[in-house]
Amino acid sequence: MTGILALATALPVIAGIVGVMGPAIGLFPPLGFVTPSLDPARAFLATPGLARAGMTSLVTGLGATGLALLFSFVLVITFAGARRAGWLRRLAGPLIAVPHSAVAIGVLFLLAPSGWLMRLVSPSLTGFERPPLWALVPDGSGAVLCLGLLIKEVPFLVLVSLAALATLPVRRLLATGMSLGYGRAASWVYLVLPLVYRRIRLPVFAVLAFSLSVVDMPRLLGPMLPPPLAVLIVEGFEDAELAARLPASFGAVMQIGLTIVALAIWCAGEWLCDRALAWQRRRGARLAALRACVRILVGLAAVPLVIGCAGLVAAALWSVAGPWFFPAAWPESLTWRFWMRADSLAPALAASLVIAAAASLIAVTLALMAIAVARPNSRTGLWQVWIFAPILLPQAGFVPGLQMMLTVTRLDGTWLAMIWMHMLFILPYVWLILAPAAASLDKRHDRIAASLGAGRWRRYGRVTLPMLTPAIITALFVGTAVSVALYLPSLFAGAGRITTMTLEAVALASGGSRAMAGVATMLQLLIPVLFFALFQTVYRLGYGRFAGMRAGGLH
Amino acid sequence: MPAMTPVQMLRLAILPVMCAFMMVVMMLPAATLTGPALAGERDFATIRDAARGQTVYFNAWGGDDKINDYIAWAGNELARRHDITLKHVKLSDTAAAVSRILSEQAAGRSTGGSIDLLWVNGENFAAMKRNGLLQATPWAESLPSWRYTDAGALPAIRLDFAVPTDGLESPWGRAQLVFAHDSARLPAPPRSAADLAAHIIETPGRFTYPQPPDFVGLSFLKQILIETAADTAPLYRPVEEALFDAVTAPLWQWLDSVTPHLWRGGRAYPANYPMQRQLLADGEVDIAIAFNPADASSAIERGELPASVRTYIHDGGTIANVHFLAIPFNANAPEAARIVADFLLSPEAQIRKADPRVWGDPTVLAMHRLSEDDRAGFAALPRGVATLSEADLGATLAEPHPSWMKAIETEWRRRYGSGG
Repeated sequence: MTGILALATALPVIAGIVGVMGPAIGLFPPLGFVTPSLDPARAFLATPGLARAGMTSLVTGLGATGLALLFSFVLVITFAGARRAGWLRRLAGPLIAVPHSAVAIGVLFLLAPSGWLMRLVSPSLTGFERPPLWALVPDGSGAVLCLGLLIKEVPFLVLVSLAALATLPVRRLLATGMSLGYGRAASWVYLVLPLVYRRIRLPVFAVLAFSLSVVDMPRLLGPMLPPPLAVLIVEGFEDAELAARLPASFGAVMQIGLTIVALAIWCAGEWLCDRALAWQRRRGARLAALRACVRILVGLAAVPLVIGCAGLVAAALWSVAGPWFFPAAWPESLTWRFWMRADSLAPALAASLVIAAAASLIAVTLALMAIAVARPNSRTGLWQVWIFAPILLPQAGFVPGLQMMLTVTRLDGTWLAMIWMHMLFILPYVWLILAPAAASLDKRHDRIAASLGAGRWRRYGRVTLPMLTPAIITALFVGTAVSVALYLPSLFAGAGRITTMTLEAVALASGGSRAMAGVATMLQLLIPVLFFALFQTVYRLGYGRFAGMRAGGLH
Repeated sequence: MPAMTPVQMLRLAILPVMCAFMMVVMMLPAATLTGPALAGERDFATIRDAARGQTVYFNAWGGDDKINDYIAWAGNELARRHDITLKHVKLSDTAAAVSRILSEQAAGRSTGGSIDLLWVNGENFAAMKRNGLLQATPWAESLPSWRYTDAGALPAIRLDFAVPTDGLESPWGRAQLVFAHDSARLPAPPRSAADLAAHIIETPGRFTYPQPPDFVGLSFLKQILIETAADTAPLYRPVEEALFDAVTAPLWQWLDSVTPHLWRGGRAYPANYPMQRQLLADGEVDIAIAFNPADASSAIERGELPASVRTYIHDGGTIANVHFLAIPFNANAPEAARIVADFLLSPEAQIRKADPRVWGDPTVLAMHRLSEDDRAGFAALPRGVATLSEADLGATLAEPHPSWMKAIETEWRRRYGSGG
């Protein structure tokens, strides 16, 4: 079973990697490059601003990941366990479902010099009849890119942290800490968070790898000159000059290297934090100032969430806006005209729904079957590397190579290929949620069932699965959300035969009509929110009466 | 006179045979000329029969709903008249489709390709032609609708960015670089490269252009190059390394003088022309650039630009080109693709396309080749408030050879690509 799982992901990933390694060393038979050479490397290394591009990637990637982890922990400390945790989940759920490009569009709508915020205070407070010449976005430092990433990654890490918490005896741990005279915040930091972090380590790695290779956000939010490394690579693959893919392939290999460097730096940081925490713990520091720190940080952590939501509101407003010119605070008129045109998007909407549902179900089923057989924990099993390869590798690097394989097998443009490709990117997230949850299940339940004479599969169906339900529902939801937002893999696997909502949205956004971009954003949002509502209802109907099952799911 | 060797004698004997053969070959076109319509129509009828029931996957940029709606209309008409299903595959970047065809070629898929018809021109066409990604035999000039065009009056329908089309792509529409300005904010826009530079330095932060490698951004750079270059003749030949620096020096001089005064100090650029149009609407910049003379008018109609926006071109003329429809070498439905290309070139489809309420894309047809009715149809079209008249648009400049595009892009990146 695990073999099948590994094969289903390893095969395409290997094909994809071979597809970039070859051109990177000058091998690309279709264009007549048949002898290995260093020319692609030389050409790519000559890219102007390459060093700064790599540095930007590294700094924004590490910065965004570090801050996202900090903020999500602060939010978890403040709200988890309390009755208020419900709204946190309800907010985080839809936010992780919003595609990155939609978040970026929202941030632009809000923060640009001619954005909504400036319109609200102009000219009354600022005296500006025209947008000012200085600008927050797009910026060259990468700070706004970090902000955009935080909007997406904080909710994601909050959700996986909450799922991890559901498997921990949080109350007992906190009680132990506090009975020893430590504050609540200190008890979280000393006792609970290290355990949570161990469980969400891979999701954090995935966030890091993704932040390093994000393309659609920096294109809107900056930095633009030079852009992050991943953008340079995609530009190479998009070049009409087909020979430009050779240096771009070398760039893709470099991107993989950069990701490894970033992971190494991150691991060094982990080690440092671990030492520091152990030292504090040994000297019994009470960390009295921690409470105030958490208070302040919660305020900061709320900023990306608020901006993200406000950006979506701005997008919603644009979708019904008539003419709306600076410095008017509100549109001259409201119109449904752009929504009327949405019917042409119906086939894409339907395709997205089908693909998201099918791919998530298959991924969850595969993962559950593997868990049933292998009872893995997240530390062993080298084969698991293949599951994570698709999200740890830059998409722009191996997806074009993958498409080559689909073309050879004539699978491109088929539903099979599309769902498989989506499954590839969903599976790691599903695995990240299900494997630790399964590993942390109390084995005694299983033993009791066995002592009552239940066979292996009966125990699995009657004991393990129901206990995993919260995690399964989270996994299904995250799966659909990931699927809906996939751009590059859909573009290549769809081969123009199958079009998804995100493909339509990006094509529309390239036309620069804010109104249509607003409509597309709303429709993109609609799918995950629909699934969210569906799963929540199912969960409430099925398990609402078990108080102990409330944690970890979406409810 | 030395004696002839047997080989020489043989050659001598072959000569008359060759001559006769050559004469026959040369007479062939003349023979077809006697009944071109008839023979062509008969050939085309068989194509039409073969096309019936086929599905054409038409890959075309999908960023504009006006264009998407127009293609949808064409699809309905083709289904009704020819039983052809037209599927519009909306691209955000045409190069992506070119790379898909390339990987199909690499995978040895010589039939049953995923693209039947592609909206293309310039660099992408040149790349396809170079790599053998197009139909092997010319087809465009045997389309029945070709008779409404006049390559004598509009050479660009046979010369795509100075690259001969060789009948491998069929003209679809015309484009010309036009500038848009908000007359309420900027009543007298600068009408030459020199005036534009002066304007940018005078009002810093209010001008920009789409970031290369964007098509319109590069076209703007070519426009400035043509206006400032001492001799434009080398631009119409493939780039020669030795000449590049000398020919382009005035362009870089111009850019060096204005870049610090651009929007965001030249450290950021809009990604494409619709985004720059948005900046004009927002009042962040004074001038927008488009490759469609009717773009501003239709944006005003949609409420995306203020009603006070007008368009203009530079006094010396602006770059103009033609965009085309091409059929890949491995198209699954090449017959139906030809029928689609023929329909889109027909006066009926071209009149509708030129209507600014529908799309506003100028026609590639020659008025003097049309029937009285069709001419009247074109004449009756509204112009749109911000669209220049044909006479005002009259001054056009030909596109340089596509190799210049890449060379200019590379040099631009080297000089300005890291934001200074």
